[in-house]
Amino acid sequence: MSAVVAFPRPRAASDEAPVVEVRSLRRRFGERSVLDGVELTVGAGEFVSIIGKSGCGKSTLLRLVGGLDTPSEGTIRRDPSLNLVFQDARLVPWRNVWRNVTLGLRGEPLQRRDGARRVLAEVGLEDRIDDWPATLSGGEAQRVSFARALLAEPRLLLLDEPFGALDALTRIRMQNLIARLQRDHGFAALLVTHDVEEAILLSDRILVTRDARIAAEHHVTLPRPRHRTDPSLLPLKQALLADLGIADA
Amino acid sequence: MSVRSDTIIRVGVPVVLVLAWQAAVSSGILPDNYASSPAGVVEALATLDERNLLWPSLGTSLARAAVGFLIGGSLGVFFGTLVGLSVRAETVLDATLQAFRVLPHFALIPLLLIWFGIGEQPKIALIALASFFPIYINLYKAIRGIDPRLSELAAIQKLDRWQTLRDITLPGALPGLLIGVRFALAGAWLSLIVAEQFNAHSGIGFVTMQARLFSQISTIVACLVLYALVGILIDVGVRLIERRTIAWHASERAR
Repeated sequence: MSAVVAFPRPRAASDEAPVVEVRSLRRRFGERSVLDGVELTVGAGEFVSIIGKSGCGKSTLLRLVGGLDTPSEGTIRRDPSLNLVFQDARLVPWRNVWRNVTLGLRGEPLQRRDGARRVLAEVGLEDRIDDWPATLSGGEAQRVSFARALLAEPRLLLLDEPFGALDALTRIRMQNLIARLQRDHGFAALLVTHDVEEAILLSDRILVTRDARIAAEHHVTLPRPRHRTDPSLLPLKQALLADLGIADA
Repeated sequence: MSVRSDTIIRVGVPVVLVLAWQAAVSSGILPDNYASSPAGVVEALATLDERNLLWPSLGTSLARAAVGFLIGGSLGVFFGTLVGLSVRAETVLDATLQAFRVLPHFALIPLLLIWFGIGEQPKIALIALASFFPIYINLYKAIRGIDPRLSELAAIQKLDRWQTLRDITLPGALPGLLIGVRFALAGAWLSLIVAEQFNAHSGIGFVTMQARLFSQISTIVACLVLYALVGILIDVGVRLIERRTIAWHASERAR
């Protein structure tokens, strides 16, 4: 069988080149290997989640893919249009909302502000365009950071536990938002999370990291939109929890 | 306690003190030729104005402080930015500059007098020295203190060097810089007073020295009042600039 079976084409299937290709990746901190022999391919438009216990190297993997860290060994190829959403919204406190959204963008201020307005409307924050970051709630700030990440239409979005710092209700709303944004924009996503349900709701494919490597892979074939109350999510949930070493009766 | 009664007390204490001072002199408890009196000070200011000394002297002193502050402050901004941004510049410069900092700059007065003579230059050099270090240190520390997570953001957003400087580094260091400016202005003003004690031919310090020769207590106290008033005005001015330029900072603190 060809590699197509091992890494099936995503639903936004196309012949486009993969947006991430990681080969024989190793990352050492001192004597300890946090990642050891990681192989990873993310196809165009594919939503891949990485789950694992804390300290298993999943965030390190994402930072390496994002270019914020350098591998000890191995190669990483990535789509240069990538953007990354951090766990904290990471807004620049001394720039108002629209200047945060257009950070790094060149061009006339009026045009940039219009661009910001367009993406802010998509995350429902058009009316906060001139506000200071400090006046936003946690969920709003994270939506602004999504708008910033989407502005340049990246083909790859890296998500580093982007809902981890939010309360449970806000998290649900944000998960629905990212599902909608991905449907509308068709970017590929690599999501690091420790929330099994979140991974199932959003992903085409879920990878489980353990002992510095990718230990398991699950394809999620459930139709979309997915609902967190849907009982057909349960078998996969149990399988993932088992992979994570959590016995759930 | 309410804000209003706080304000009344804040303003009331100095007013009561001034009234007590006047009362003590008027009643003869305090000899007039030792401590003057508020009325005497006002009179002395009026006399200075009549002799066309008040505003020109104030102008001369302010100009000295301004020139010294601008020279010292610009150097402080330059070196503070350089050492803040570059680890290499820090290695080369910081230890040396810090060594100079622990030296009280008034100790350099004899040297400055020999180098520059007794004209304007040693005065301005002294003021410049006093302005340099607060700005240098506060700006350098402020640049180093910027949240390192923001440089990750800069990398992700593909900011170039100039954009990073303009959008992240410099605005992030602005509150620190303004703290430095406040200290520098206070230092400049203090150094002006010291500098005008040696060989001034104009300025408030010169007026003070003249008054001392003729034992004009009221004029001396009037000059002290002038120094104090200008000092307060400068501080208020910097606070206003702070409030204007770092609006985001206020909202950050109000969180």
